[in-house]
Amino acid sequence: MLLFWKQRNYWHWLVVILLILIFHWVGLLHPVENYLAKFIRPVSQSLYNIGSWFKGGPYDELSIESLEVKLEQTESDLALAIIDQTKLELLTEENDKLRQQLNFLDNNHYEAVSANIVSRQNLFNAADNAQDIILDKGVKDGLRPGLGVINESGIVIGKIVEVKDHSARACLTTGSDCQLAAALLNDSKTIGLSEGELGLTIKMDFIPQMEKIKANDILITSGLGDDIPRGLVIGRVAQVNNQSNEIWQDVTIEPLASLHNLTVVSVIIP
Amino acid sequence: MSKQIIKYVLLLIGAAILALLQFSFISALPWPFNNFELSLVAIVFSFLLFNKKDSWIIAIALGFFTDLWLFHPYGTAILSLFFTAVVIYLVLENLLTNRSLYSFLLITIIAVLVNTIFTRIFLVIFDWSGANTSHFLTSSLFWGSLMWNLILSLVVVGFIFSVLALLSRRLKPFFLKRR
Repeated sequence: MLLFWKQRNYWHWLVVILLILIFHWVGLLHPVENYLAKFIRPVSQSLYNIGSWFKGGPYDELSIESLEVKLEQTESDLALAIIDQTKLELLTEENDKLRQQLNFLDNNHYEAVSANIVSRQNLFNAADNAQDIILDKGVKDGLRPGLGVINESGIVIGKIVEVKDHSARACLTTGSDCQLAAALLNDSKTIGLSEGELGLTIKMDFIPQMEKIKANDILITSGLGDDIPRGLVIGRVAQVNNQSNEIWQDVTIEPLASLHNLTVVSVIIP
Repeated sequence: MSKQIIKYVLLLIGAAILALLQFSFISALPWPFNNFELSLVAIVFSFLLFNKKDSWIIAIALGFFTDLWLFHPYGTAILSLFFTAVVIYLVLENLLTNRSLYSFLLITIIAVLVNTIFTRIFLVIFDWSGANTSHFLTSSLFWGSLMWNLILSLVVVGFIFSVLALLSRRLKPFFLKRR
């Protein structure tokens, strides 16, 4: 190694790297970076779709154009499904109130940006279903950290955590570093933070024992944190873990959407 | 001079294509194939197919494009790939000089391990929060990814080396026989 560095002509490669880093940090490279990021969009989308095909996912049924139509349809489907669920559990008065809250998409006409997934970030060796996804839309398209990401069915699959001019990174709900402000549709409307567990499920812990939670209760976004509106479905309670000698209980939630073969998503902009 | 410029432009385009394949295609593959690092295999073979100056350019360009498109701290890939290339060069020049299949398989193992170490070091340096780098040594996912990266890289290097050995006399698929 010493012999290598004694040969002075190798130092200029390090200088080149340092100049690249400095130019990036001061912003001189931004025009080139933006151009390259935009330039690769169609190619990277196609390559990602080909790679996803090996997972056996039905990627060719979706397109940017059709997603807007599907989103409108799923917004109403989502509201109806949640209303049906809550009808079984709540009084008519509560149901009407919830209907107003959970029909926010229809009532408020939130803007949604459709985006293709162009890569999965594997750097930190996350589990296969918990790898962050990289979208081909960024700051220039109105995205910002904290926005909710939904699939074609209107189910929350993650949230934006980092943005560049023409791309964004989103964590998936099953990722251990992906926290969402959430609420359970049980009698007491338990609120808390949901986070991923082992790349497979979602957990919500530190719930007081007095809260009554049942299997199949629906977990929705609470609207208390980030920029994600209230009422988007995250998952369904699969297991309630409560022991009489514990202060807290926790619940395991199964996501209602398949996360391993996503190709097109929408970002809700409230 | 113009030939040199064309050559460097082609090297940059080639590096961009490889980085794009890694970024979009390989990352979308199912486990365990998404652990394969095409960039490392490309750098290993660049020392075989090109001169060392070209290899530095390929390593730096691969790192530049990877840093550009991925969302890890900027500089991680460009520095770790460059220093990995340095180690590969030193091993090829001083230890494994016979250019046999076994040499390249051993270099591939060294490259994967060294790149993993350098990547972690630069992540610690650049990611001040440490949120993404803490406790990775105790993570079974980390060791599983490393193992599959090694296996896949060895398979790919072995395959490409065998193909090149059929096409070129510069390579020897096996060690020389003792007399």
